[in-house]
Amino acid sequence: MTFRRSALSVILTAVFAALAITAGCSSKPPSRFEKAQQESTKPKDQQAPANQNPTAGGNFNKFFPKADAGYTVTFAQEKKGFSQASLKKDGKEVALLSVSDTTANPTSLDKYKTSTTKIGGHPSVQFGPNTSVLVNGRYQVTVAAKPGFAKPDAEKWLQKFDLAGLATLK
Amino acid sequence: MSDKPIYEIVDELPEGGMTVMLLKALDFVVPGQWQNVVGFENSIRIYTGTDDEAYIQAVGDRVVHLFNDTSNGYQRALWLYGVANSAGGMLGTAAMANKIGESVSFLGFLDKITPKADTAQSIDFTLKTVIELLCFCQINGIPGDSIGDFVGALGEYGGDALMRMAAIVSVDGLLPLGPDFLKMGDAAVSRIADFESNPIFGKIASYIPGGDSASKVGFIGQAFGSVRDWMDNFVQSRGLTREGIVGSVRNYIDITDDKLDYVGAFLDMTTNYYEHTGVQTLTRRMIERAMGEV
Repeated sequence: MTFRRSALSVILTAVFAALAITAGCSSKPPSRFEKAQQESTKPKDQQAPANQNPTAGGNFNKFFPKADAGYTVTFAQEKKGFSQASLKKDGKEVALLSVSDTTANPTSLDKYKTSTTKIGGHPSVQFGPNTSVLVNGRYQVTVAAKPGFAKPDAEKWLQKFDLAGLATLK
Repeated sequence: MSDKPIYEIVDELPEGGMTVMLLKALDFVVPGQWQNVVGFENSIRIYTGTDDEAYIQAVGDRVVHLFNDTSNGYQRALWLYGVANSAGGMLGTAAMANKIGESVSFLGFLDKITPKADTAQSIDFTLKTVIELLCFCQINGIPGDSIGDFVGALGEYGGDALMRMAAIVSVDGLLPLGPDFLKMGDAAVSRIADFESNPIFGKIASYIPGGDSASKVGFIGQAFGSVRDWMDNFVQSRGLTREGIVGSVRNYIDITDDKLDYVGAFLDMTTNYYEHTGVQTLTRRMIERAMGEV
């Protein structure tokens, strides 16, 4: 009886120790971005379909707005399917201007399904600090405002892009 | 392929320690430019300036995808920043061994297997300069030989990138090599054999434009030659001196030795400013891109 009791206590101790270790290991909550990590590390053919050869970012540059009345436009990034410039007023960044090919990131199209507004004749959406339009169902033009850059200013700068020219891009 | 998710890499950036103290000590060189932004989600909140949770989620998810798509070059940039960092550590050790060789005669043979400290350091310095150019091209998506674009962009450098340049100039140039550090860099880029025997050059050579060692070192010389005027102006316009740097570092880190080249070697070995600010630059650029793509 004594033996069985001590054997039981050894087993219970071991079980509790194992539970404590498991609890300790899982105490760090999983990252809210873990799902994206799992999805993006799968083999390419098992990932959600995305165009691996979108329009080169350099093709977008000529449709960007020019410097204007105290504002400067400085190109910052040019990647496949993407180009970005920094909009500055008196040397201080006030917004990021971008054109992206949504075929490389099709989930970005979802938000346009409920769009009820238009800018320059193109469906427009607000998302966080972004004001965006979708040109020709494919190219997304975005003004991402830094704090203090008002929505009407963002819309004004969106219309300074050559949206009609971009619409002709294949 | 990185074996760590980008959010873990950014979450693991330290809030304190030797590296952060060194960078704080260098604030006087580029006042107010650098904030120690750490943590992945925190970085997204700061750079997007929003609390919109759906937007933060979308941007973070997109950054994870961009980083894991190796064709974007972000992982290569991260690797290059790490290599630049190990250049400091390894050459730092060689420099210390050489100092012992100079002061203790029976160890004089060390001179035969260890480069002169200044020789090693000036190569380290030019390599770190060129790695910044390579990373700039990788991250911003321009061809790897775009020296002109890089030099043009230096004028626009701010934040963690400007701080990294300040640290290259201060900790890898001026402090260990003295006021003639740019001339020493000029001299270094003619010593092809020294580059060929340098393990860091061996690692990054395939990413440097050029068909053979001579043309790759030629490219390094060209790149360094284009950046040196910016560096010269940087030092002159800020009145930067070795004594000024050490004086500021002394406010944060206990330095008992007054020999400035020892201080440089010590900082080389005990900090990783290059990789730390490199991860910050990379993270910011990927967040900004994701802002335009979500």
